Amino acid sequence: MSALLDISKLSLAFRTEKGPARVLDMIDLAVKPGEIVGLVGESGCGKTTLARAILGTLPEGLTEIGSGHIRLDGVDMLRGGKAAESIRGRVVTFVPQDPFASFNPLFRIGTQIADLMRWKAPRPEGRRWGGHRRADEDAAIAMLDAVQLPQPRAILAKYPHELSGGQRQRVMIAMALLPQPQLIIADEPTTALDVTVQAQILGLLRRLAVERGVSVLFTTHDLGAAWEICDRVVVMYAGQTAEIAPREAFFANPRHPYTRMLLDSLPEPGRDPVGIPGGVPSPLTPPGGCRFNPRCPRVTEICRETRPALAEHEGGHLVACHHPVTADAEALYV
Amino acid sequence: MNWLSMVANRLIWFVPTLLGLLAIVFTLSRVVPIDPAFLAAGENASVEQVQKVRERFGFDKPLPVQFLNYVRDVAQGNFGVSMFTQQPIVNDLATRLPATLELTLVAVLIAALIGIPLGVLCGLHRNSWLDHVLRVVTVSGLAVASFWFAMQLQFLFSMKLGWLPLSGRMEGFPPEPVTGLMVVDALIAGDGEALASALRHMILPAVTLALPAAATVVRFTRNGVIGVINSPSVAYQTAMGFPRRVIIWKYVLRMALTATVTQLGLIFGILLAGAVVVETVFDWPGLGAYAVRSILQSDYNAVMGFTLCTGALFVFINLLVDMLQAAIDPRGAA
Repeated sequence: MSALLDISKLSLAFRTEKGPARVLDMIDLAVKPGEIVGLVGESGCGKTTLARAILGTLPEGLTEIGSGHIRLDGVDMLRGGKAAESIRGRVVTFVPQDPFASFNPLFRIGTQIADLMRWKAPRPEGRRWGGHRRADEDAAIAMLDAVQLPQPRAILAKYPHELSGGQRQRVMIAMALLPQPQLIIADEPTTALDVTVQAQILGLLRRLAVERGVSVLFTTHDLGAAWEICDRVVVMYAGQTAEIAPREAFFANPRHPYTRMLLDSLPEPGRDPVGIPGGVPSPLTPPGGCRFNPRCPRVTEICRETRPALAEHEGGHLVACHHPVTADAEALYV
Repeated sequence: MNWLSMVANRLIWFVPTLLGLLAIVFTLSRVVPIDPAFLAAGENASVEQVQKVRERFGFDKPLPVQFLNYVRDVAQGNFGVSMFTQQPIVNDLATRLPATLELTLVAVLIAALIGIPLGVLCGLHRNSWLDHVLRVVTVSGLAVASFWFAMQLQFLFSMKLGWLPLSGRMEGFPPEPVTGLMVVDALIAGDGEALASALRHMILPAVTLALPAAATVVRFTRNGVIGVINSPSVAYQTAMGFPRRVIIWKYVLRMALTATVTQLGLIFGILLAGAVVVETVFDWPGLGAYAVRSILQSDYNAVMGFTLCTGALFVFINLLVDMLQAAIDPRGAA
């Protein structure tokens, strides 16, 4: 099956007063139709930038594209202009990180949904205007019902501040689904919510996406959340792809030392969590070669000089490392 | 419900505010080192005649008694008699208030129609040449003396080009007074000639009056837009592919205008103060011109009446602004 989203060798920098910040470095990523992909990494690893690049909403005039391309449904989202604008909200939709601030506080929920549908919902040919108001409202109510909001009609008449965080994020998911997209980009959709609500929202997002065959690219720094909903996990470190693997293989046999240390840093019964010494390098002065080399226990000379390519291991497991963790070399420290 | 209780709350405060205003107006009128009885009695009056006048107007009583009498009179709609025209002040104010109101309303309209779009453009293109040019223009718009500007307009458009009348409110027969607003009355009477004349007379004074108000509107709208344009809700709508013009002119504008609407009361104060000068220059038969004449003649009943009238108007406008504010922003009504 061909990829819905195809990102290849994407390098990207932001202009800053201190020089270019190289936020993304040779990123490769593909999302197939109907697939749920988790993009995992620490804050500042470039996952939000990547999400914005796919949506085509990077700050104009501040972004330098070094190399590569992003194709979504065949459209170049980096240089798409009008075509990219048309794709946004129609082929690809968005669930934001902060459901509190992402609504306009002065308009009713119903108005904001109606405007989205007016411009982005699929229309039967030849009836672009008029006669849709009623159908739009019915569709909106059905969708609010699908995201398990009680009394959907009453919700349409409410202002954002009258809903709880979980309710607002459910509305956001409904809005992401209403245009019948092929891909939803969910940028840390549960970070701003209570822990008890997080699992509900993740489960809902997964169920609705699977039912409708919609792909989801889900960014998170929470490995537990990735385990909950993803088919495939992509690990990013400091703007580079470290490891891509199907969910089971990823959690059972992490290959990249960074991934391995990331998993070891999770608290687990019967074992103390182990932190990763050091910090994420600044994108202004990234280390040469593999950007993880200053913190890696397996570092050798080649890691500082040559950027490791993503190499395929068994079972669709892709790792960008000169010294991956394997069955023969299990110990992290060599 | 919230909105109603807010309005009730403001209405209750309306009464003490007016009482305070009365006290200030009264005190000021008694502090002025002019004996009103002496003035009223005339230059050649004897001491006995002056004393008689004093008793007739109650100036011989203690100040608190005079104040209570004054409050009682005002409550009954009796603002006293002009010492020069011997007409009840209320009649004078009633014939002149509509003229000022008409001029001020048109000035507000001009200020909003010019100021809001320019403010939005400046906010969107911050620090562009347009923003810089308009910053200079708005600062000078606030700094330029309105009588000077008024006379420049008169010189250019009336005396040099002869496009517009020099002064006054109407040529020929005025339409049957219904509302007192000349333009509205002309429309009601279906008198096209009177309407044209009223509008032609209105342009120069209204523009003069609108200039500083428009400058204020531009600045507040600009700052409002700048405060909103980088908000998460705009980022969300952009990512969801809402058309740019809908985001700006519907969603951002309403958020930006909450700041501007708060300033409407202030703007109205600027206009009332400006009316005193503008009406005098353009010989506009409104409250401002009346105030100037009354002050020059030391007709202190008339001055008190004018001050009270504009003061009450100002308080009332601010009440309206609060109500409008609460209607625009559903969160504020608490």
